[in-house]
Amino acid sequence: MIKLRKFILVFLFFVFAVLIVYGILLGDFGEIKDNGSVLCLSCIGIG
Amino acid sequence: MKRTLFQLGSLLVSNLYFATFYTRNIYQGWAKGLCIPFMNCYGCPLAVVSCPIGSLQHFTIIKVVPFFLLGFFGIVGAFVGRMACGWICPFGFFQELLYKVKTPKIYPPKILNYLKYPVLVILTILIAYWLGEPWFCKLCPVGTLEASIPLVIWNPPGGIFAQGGTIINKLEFLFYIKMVILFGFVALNFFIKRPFCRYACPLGAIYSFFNKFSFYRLEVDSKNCSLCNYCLKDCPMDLTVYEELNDTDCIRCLKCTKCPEVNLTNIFEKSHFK
Repeated sequence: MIKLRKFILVFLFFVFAVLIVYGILLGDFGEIKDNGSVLCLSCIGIG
Repeated sequence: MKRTLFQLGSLLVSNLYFATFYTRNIYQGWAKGLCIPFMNCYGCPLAVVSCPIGSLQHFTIIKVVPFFLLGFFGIVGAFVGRMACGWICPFGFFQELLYKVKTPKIYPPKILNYLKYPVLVILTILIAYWLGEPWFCKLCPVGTLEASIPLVIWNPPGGIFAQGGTIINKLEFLFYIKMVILFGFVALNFFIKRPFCRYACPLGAIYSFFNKFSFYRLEVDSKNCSLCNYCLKDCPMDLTVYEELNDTDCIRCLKCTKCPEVNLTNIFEKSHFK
């Protein structure tokens, strides 16, 4: 049971690492393209 | 004390753009593309990084699968579960301070803690997808505290914040709704420990899925535990650790590890209590 849990955890780390790398390769790794570089009016309450 | 330093440190590190008072602009450098593992509004004039829930909403609205974000949530959650909530979230710190005010304390039923899941699924994802607007951000009390209130107090003339006028002149009804929500949570906070984390935080809801099987986890010596409930008295989420070990609501603040029968371990380490 514990071995299975360890295997699942290691597998998940691998999957999430792949997702991160793929996201970085796509260039969509945050908000810089859009909302991060403009003022978020929704956050302030004026839009 | 150590945890307080982490909480204050994270607040400072994520809000370092003091040049805003001179430039009257927000930080637009490379770091703004990075997410942090806790709630910190990027509408704050000092913010230098992105809010993960703001980013999630952004990608939901533009209907793009956020691969990086999903991996980021997964890595953080699978590694430490909700530890970010307990150690580096500035809004969590703010709530802990408010709870220290001496008032009669309330312990609401734990079933209410499930409210954060509809907030994540319905308000943060589905409504943003359908309406194309970041409705969680529009209502988020963290944004009100870190962005709305400071900007309204500062009311900077000119620059990006003024938007061709002044912020005070441009405030909409939404601002007052945000204020009511923030002060609602503040009022609750005098009586309930961390109400936002319990009932409304979508980021905590995401991390909570990982608590049961994360790399770092808590263990209890059930043979020697005297059921004294010391862990319950100190727990910021009102958990009885020996019964609710690694519960979805545990924020891994590690206060309960002051008890010698509770220990932080990792999945590859042998139990300390054998």
